[in-house]
Order: sequence, then C-alpha cells, then structure tokens
Amino acid sequence: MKKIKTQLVLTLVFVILGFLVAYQYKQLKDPVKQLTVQETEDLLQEIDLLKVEKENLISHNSELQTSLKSYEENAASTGSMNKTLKEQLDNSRLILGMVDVKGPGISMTLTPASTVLSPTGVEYLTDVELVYILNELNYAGAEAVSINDIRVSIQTGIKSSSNNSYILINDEKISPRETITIKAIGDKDKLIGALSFNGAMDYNALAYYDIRFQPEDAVKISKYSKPFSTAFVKEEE
Amino acid sequence: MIVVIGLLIGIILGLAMNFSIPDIYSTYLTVAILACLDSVFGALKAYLGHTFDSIVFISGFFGNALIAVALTFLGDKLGIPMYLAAVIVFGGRLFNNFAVIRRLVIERYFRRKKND
Repeated sequence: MKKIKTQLVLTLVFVILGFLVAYQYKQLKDPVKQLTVQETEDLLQEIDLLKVEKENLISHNSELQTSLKSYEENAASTGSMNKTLKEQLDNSRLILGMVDVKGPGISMTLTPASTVLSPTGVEYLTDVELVYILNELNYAGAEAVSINDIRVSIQTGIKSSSNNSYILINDEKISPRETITIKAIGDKDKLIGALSFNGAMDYNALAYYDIRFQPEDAVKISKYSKPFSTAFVKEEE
Repeated sequence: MIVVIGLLIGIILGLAMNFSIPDIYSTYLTVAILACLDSVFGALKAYLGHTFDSIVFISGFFGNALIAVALTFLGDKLGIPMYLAAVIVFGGRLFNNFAVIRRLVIERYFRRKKND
C-alpha cells in the first residue's frame, strides 16, 4: 500500500518536471520576432527620410509664415484700424506660441540621481511631476514655458507612455531617465521664488532628481510645432 | 517505469496545453526547472547508491525549486542577479551528480562482469 502511494507521488513529481521542461521548450521555440539586420537598416533609412521630410516641412512652414506676415503688414499699412488689429494678432501669436519668443526668465534642469549612489532604487519622473512643475511656473506668472525645447501651448497635453519609459509632450518623446530642461519666460524673481519655496521641489519623484535653476536674461523658446485644432469649438453668437 | 510514464504525461501536457505564463516569470521558471533537475539526478544517484528515500527526494524537489524561486525574486527586488547563483550552484551539482552516477554505474558493470 505504502509502495503504491510512493509511486503515485513519484509519478506526480515527474509529471510536474516533464510539464515544466516541455513548457519552457515550447516558450523558447517561438520567441518574440527579432528584426533582421536588413529590416533594421530599412527602418533606420526610413527614419532618416522622415527626418529630412520634417525639416523640409518646417522650413516651408516658416516661409509661409513670413509671407503671411508681409501680407498682414501690407494690409495694416492702409489704416490705423488695421494696425491695431495687426498688433492684437501679433500679441495672440505670442501667447499661443505660434512664433519663437524670447525674454527674461529662468531655466531649470532635472537630472535623475545615479542608480549607483542610491541603493534603495531611483524613482523616475512621470507626467504628474511635469504637470506639477508647469502649474507652479504658470502660477508664478510664467508667460511661455518649454520642456526640452518643446513649447507648452494652450492645447498641450503631457502623458507618460509605455510604462513610463517615455513621456509624450505634443507627440514628442522625452525620457525621464535623462536630463530634462525646462525654460520659462516671466518675472525672474517670482519664478525663482516659486521654485525655491521650501518643499516645492520635493513632490513625488522630484525628490530623486538633482534640480538646478538659475535666472536668465534672454531665454529663447521656440514655437509650438503642431497646428492648433479648432474642429469642435465655435464662437457663441 | 512509472517515472518514464509520468515524464511522458508531463511532456504531453506541457506541449498540448495552451496557457502562457507572463514573460517576467520566465527566469523563475528556468531556475525552478534547474532545481528540479538537480533533485532528480540527486535521487538517481541515491537510488544507485541504495540510499534513496522518497520523502527526502520529494521534499528536495519542491523545496529546492521554491528556495531557488524565492531567492531569485529577492534578488530581483534588491537588484542582485541571484538567478546566476542558482544556475551556478545547481549546474555545478548536476555535474557532480553525473560524476558520481557514472562511477556507480561503472562499478556495477565491472562487479557484474567479475561475478559472471
């Protein structure tokens, strides 16, 4: 009786072993598809092509912008009414981020702590911390803000993606594992005051970052790279 | 005999069944397999040396696998590649067991020849 029991258990043990080995074998037989060298090269080439295309489109866009500007100036020169309109238009462009802007402000860098120096592990920034900083800056009267030279406009959303391996801003990727540069135009003293307020830069994962900021006399922020969408919003009559 | 049948059933089950363990656990599975294999060859050695005890074997089979998986898990949490330790230790023991098994088999073979 005891012998049969032992044999049953032995069988069970070997069933488990056989199952594990067979399962592992099956797993390895159909591995995740790896790109061949040729495919990788094709992809790289495609990226290069798209980059060139993007450059071309950007330069084309700026050409169109200049011609538009000259049309406006011509139109404005015909009357003072038109001139006021033109001034308002320029002003709106500054606020919306449709043109490159410069002015006094601050620039700050966020560098992740080295993993070697923090044995307990490092937490990386997510969209939440960036939105928090953005809000702090806006509250302190920032008139234009950019993150890694990506202009934050009125229609910009910030979102972590792929398990926070990167953060999307205006559909452009930035990595929380590398240094992030944030620039803001506004009252230097107010901005610095908001950032150096005790505890302001300890929010969530910011505690793991080396944060430096300094006032600057000429901060340059490039324009918003995407077209604005007005597909749904209409003026109320 | 019973062992071979069990092994076959297990292999068929493993190949036929269609569920998948998430990729992140694949290291644990490998380490567990290695620990189990080590126990099995240890048992074969004991069997040939007439010191086989099924309780020792079964407890070793599950215990080794559990400890290997637990250590690997701990290593993952602390950032130490502990699975390497499991691979080296169990791999080394596999070779040791093989050496002893080989010696026992050869001894047996010559003893039988002498008796004939």
